[in-house]
Parts: sequence; structure tokens; C-alpha cells
Amino acid sequence: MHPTLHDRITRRARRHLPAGARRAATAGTMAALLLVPAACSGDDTVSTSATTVDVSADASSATSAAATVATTAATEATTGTAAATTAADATATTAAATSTSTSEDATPAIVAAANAFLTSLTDEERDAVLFDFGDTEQRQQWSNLPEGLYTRDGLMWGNLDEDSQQAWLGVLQAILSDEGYTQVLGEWGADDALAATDGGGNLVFGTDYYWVAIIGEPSETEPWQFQFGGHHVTVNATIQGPDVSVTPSFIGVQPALYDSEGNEIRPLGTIEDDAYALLGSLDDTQLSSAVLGDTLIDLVVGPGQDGKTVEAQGIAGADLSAEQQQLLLTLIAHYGGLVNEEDASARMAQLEADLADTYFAWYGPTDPSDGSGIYFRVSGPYIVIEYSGQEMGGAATDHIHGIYRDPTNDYGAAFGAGLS
Amino acid sequence: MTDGRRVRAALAALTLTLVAWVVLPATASAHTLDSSSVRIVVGDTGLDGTISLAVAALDAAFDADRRSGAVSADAYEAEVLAYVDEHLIVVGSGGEAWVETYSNFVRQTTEGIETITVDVAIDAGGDDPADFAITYDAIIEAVGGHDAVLVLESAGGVVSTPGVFSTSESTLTIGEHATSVGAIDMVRFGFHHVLDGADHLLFLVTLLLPAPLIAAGRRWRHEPKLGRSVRRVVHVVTAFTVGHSITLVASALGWVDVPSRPVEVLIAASVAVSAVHAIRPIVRGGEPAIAVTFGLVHGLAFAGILRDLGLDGRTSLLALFAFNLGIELAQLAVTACLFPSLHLIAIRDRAGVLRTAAAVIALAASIAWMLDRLGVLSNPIAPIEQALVEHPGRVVLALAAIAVAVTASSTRHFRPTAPVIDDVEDAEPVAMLAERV
Repeated sequence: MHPTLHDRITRRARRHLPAGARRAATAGTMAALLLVPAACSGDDTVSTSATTVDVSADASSATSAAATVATTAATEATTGTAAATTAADATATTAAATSTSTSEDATPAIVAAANAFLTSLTDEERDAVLFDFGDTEQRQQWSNLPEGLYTRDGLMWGNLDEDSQQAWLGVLQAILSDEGYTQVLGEWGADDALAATDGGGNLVFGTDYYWVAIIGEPSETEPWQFQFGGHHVTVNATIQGPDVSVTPSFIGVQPALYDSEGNEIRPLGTIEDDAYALLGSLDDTQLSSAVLGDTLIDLVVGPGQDGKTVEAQGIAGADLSAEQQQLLLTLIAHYGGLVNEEDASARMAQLEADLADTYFAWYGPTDPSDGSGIYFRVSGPYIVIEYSGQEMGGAATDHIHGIYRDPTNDYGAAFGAGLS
Repeated sequence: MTDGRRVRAALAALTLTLVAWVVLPATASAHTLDSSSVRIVVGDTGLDGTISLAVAALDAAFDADRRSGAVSADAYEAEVLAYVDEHLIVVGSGGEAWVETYSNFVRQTTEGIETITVDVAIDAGGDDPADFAITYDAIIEAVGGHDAVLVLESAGGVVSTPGVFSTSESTLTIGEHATSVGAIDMVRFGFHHVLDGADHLLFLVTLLLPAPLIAAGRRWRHEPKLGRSVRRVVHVVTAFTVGHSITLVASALGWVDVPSRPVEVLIAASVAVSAVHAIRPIVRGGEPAIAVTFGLVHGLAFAGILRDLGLDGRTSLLALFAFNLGIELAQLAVTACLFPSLHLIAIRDRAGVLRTAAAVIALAASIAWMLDRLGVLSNPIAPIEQALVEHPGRVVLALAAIAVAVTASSTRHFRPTAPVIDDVEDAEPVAMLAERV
């Protein structure tokens, strides 16, 4: 990648200016980058109720930056207050403002955010984070295993400087919806809670041990992918022109409920509640179709199981009442709605159209008060969701593994960006 | 009370004690440990499997002396592989068990939980690899509440979870398996699966050891007469058939439901009983009584074979009859192949040295099986057993060779005092056999 004008400006700024000014320069660059597409598209109805990313300029360490974000986002989710904190940072405000219009293609904002991130890096870092789009191995190199059991490539979050961390959050925010962003930060933040309890023996946990890789060059026309992930959450996003896929992604958490600066965070709580709501709505006949076993099972198409489809098992959407179908759709929306609002509308339309042919299956106890964890699976022509309480390493209710796939469009296969 | 009655009472008491000993602990320990999984990928000519076991659960299934640390890593790996091998059976549409080859033993700790994974390549041997019955009960057979999900991946990459292996369901059928099984297939299943089970055969053969003899008090009197021997054999085989037919039908039709573990232990015990009887008569003329009594137990195991084939629950009476016929044919084939040699040996083996030796071997095998099936130790004679079962022809030939050798040597040494055979009619076929071999 040739250094752009912005790269050169930023590098010069890094060399000659004090830290505060460097940040301002970066912010200015990003703001310019982000405002250009917005201006060009002529869209002046910019949402102001977007999730504000308050990556405080005063945050002293990488970990606390992530924790602040997680807490902020989660607080908004639980209290319903939009923009709970004031955004003093121009970068964040701009990013937030441009990322959440449903009518406009999200890709330019995603590309701009990714370029801003790349701009924030040193040459060495940029070399480390960028991979060829043809690097199929790297495209699939992700896992839910913690650091120490699995080797990831790219740049580690904990090693990024604060500017780059902020810029990366901007990328996540551009690709994800508000709910998706909140959820991912919640899952990610849980790793710090896990590290604090030392629940994992001699393995390394914590938000620092998450990795970023950009495969292909951020482009509004050519295909590229980014990976962000570590223990219990991975987002694989593939972008080609206006098309965006965030499958396969790993959606897990441990602990499932934790405290962050006084706020109780349950990142996958609504998913589990909505799954129970659907299960609870089933009559005995429907239950006998949906419940396939009384003990938990593990993910069947987890990390490393790319390129597979899942047999229709459980109860079909066609055998659900209209109300029950709505409950299924609500459950699915937690996954279909991970991606930004613009791309999610097409995605959800696709999933809703195939609801009759979408199956819901359950393993494990059916009574929420049983407290021994659940497994559910949603599978349809264009979706596989698995949610699996893990017996290992503590209570299955507190340790969730999950996967979100589109058998037709993992890694953007449907729009020609798939693994070759 | 006569000796016979006392012995019969003792036998009954022993049986009851064994049943209680085996059944009670099995029902008392019901704590769930982390579950296992069996992932099977269907290929062109067979299956590729990965079995994942939680070490904690495996340790609970193993006896203390088999636990890690007590033995070398290599020995432990071999034990685990042998254990899994023993508890995974895949039967194709041809009714034959597919050959399993294990590799890639990996032991690792993930998030505080130690797991062992092993890969297994399963050769379908020309059968349709998408059509099989899979039986798996590693750990499940020993640890109450443990289960293992079967994850199946078709050749086209379609993943499903066809079922969960558990105490109540150890066999899952995949594809069209068993739906097209006809009477002829059932005869074949019955025939082959009895021949594959060394314990059933050893029970029968050991019970036939003293057929040419007469129980005189607590000793065997040496009096081989072919006509009487054949009648004895017919009685024993018939009694065994009556016994196992009753329980096979009762179990296959769901009238009785006995867990497989105590049945397997009792079968091993039945070999011990017939071995002891071969050394010293337990019940005078009691071989048919022993055969019918323990036939009841063996019948439960034959029903288990039907379950393993995935045929339980949808078995018609005709299919059961055909299956049982296959079992009879196997019994008769074995008897026909071994009896001439046994009879020849019995004629010359006046002191019963060879009979006693054979009985001691059977006793040792039965003890090994009992300890194995009670989970005390892994079957030390498994390789020998497997070799014998895989080469039945060699067993028959070896026994015939012994018979010839014994006959030849004793003819040479004892020719002057030869009139052991007091029935000329009986002597002819024996002599003919000896000459031919």
C-alpha cells in the first residue's frame, strides 16, 4: 500500500507534535475522511441518536479505554438512554454521526474508518495488520480459544496505541449496528471480568488479547475482510462494494453476567431471554419437535467448520403460529441485526422471507429455573445460529459459545468474495 | 439334601449375588460429568471420526490403576484407544462390523478441562458409507448420566445431530440402515454375530467338553461312546436354544428390559460355570440344565445384538425367527466342526488332562471377561480373543491337529491296551477321521 497524503500528514504530525496535537491531527484527518463521503452523498439527515463512542481522550491505558467503551455502551443498552455520555472527541462524534443512516450505503463509512485506522498505525504495524485478500488461511484464522491455546495474526489490541484503538472502535462502529456494537463490546469486556477472577488457570484472558487483521485493502469496490477477535468474540466482516457480510462470527461470553464500574452487564441476556420466550410459547406437540435432547451439546459448526450447511432439525417456522414466528424473528434479529442498520435491512428481509423454512432446535432443560444452561440452534437456507452453554470451566449458564453463519454467504461467498 | 440339590442351590445363590453385585452400584452412581462427543464425517469409502472424551469422566469410567500417572503415557494411550475401540461399533448394511483404525491421540487442557481426542478411520468395506448403525457407549456404560452427542457430517458437508448416545440409547442408525433388512439378512446377522462373540461360543464348547463322559459323583468317569455323546450334544444345544430363544423374544419385543452390563458379566460367569463343570461335574447330567439356565442370559445379549444393529423395536416375529435361526446355524456349525475333535481327544485323554487344561483356559478367559466387564481391568486376553474369533478356521484345524496328535501318540503307546472304545460302531468314524486328517 502506498502511503497516502493522510498517511504522510499523520506521520509528520507524529514526529513533530506533542501527543495532544497528534491526536488532534489524527482526528482531523479522520473527520475529513468521514465527512467527504457524507457530503458527497448529499445526505444531510444525519442521525443524532447514534451510540456515542466516548473513547475518552484522557483514558490512560488501553484496557481502561476498552472498559469505558464497554460500560458506556452497556449502560445505554440497559437504561435505554441514547448518547449517555458527552462526546468531546471530534473523531468519535463524527464517526457516530455518519455510521447510522439506514438509507445510505454504509460501505464508504466503513472504508473510511478502516483507512483512518490504517493511517493511525506505524509502518511496521501496518505491515503486520495487512494481509493479501488471497490469503485464505488468514481469512479463516480465527477461533474462540483464548490466547495461549491459539495463535492469531495481525495486531494485538493491547499493543495498539490509544489513537489506533480509538480508530479501530470507529471501524467496529461503522460495520455494526448500535445493538451489535454494544453486544460485541459487552462480550469483549467480559474477558476482563474473567481475567479478574482468574477463572482460566494459566491461560491469558482479558480485552488486551484481541487481535485485528485486515485482509485485502479497504476499498469501496474491491473485496476485503477484517477480523477482530479473541476469546469468546470474533467478528469477521467481508465487504465488497455495497455488500457487507458479518458471517461467520463467534458470539460468546464468559462470565455471562458481570459488573463493570457499577453496571451489571449481560451481553447475551436478551438473546437467551428471547430464546426462552420462543421455547415457552410452544405447545407440547411443538416442543416434541423442537427439543432434541435433554443435555447440552457443543457447537456443531463452530470455528474451523467453514463451508458446511446444517440439516433442518427441530421445529420449522411453518409449524409456528404468527405470534411464535414473530418470536423467532425477534430472536433471529439479534444476529441478523448485528450488522449496521443499512445492511441489516436487506439481511433481515432475506431472513424473514425464509422464516417458514427456518428451524428452531433445542437441547437441554426447558425450564429457565433449572439453571443448567441451554443450547439452541436456528437453521435456515441463509442462516445458522448456535448458542451453547459450556459445561467446561464453570456453570453452563455463565459460559456461552455461539456462532452466527450464513451457509450461502460466509466470508461474502454470495457476492463473490468467498474463500477461493 | 443331595449333593446335586445343594450344588444347584449354591449355583442359584451365586447367580443372585452376581446380579445384585452388578446391578446395584450401576443404579446408585448417577452423577453427570462433562459429556463426550462423536463427530463422524461420511467419506467415499468409509467414515472419518473424531471422538472427544473428558478425562475426568474417563477416569471415573476407568479403574484407579488405569488412571493417568499410574502408567506410562504410551500405555495410557493404548488403554484409551483399546477402550474406545471396544465401545464403538459401526455395522454396515451388509451386517458386518466395519474395521476401525485409530490415530492422532491428543490430550489437552482447554479452559481448565482436560480432554482427549482420538481420530478413527472406519472402513466401510464396500458397503454404502452413508448407511450404518453406530453403537457407542464408552464412559456411558460406566458413569451414570454421561452421554455423547453424535455429530454427523454428510459427504456434501451437511451437518446434523442425529442423536445422543446415552444409557438408554447406545445405538443410532444413519441412512436407510435396517429398514430394508429381510429374513435372509436376519439369518446372516444371527449367524455372524454369534461367531463374532467369543463368549457365547466358549460357553457352548466348554459345556460340550464332558459330553463323552459320565458324571460319577464328583468326578467324570471315562466312558466315551459316540452315540451317547451325540445325544448329549443334541440335548445341550437344544437346551441352550430354548433358553436363549425365550429371552431373545421377550427382550426384542420389549417385555423385559435388562441393562446390558450385568448381562455381559453373567455371560462371562456362565463360561466359568461350564468350565468348572468340565473339570468336576457340578450337576450330574446337568449340562442341559446349565445350558437352559444360562441360555436365558445369552438370549438377553442376542437381543442386545439386535439393538446394536438398530433393529430393536421394529422387529417382526418372522425377523426374530430368522435371526434366531442364524444363531442356531452358527451353533450347529461350531459344534459340527469341533465335536469330532473333542470326541477324539476324549477317547484318548483318559486322565482328562487336556479337558482340564481346556477348562482352565476357559475359566481364565471367563475371569478376564468378568473383571473387564466389571470395570476392574481391561481385558488382557482381548488380542488373543480377537485373533481366535477372526480365524475360526484355524481354531478348528488346530483342535483337529491336537486330536490327531493325541490319537496318534496314544495309539502308539497304548495300542496293546487299546480297547478304550468298547463300541465298534462308534470306533469306525473315529478311526476314519483320524486317517483322513
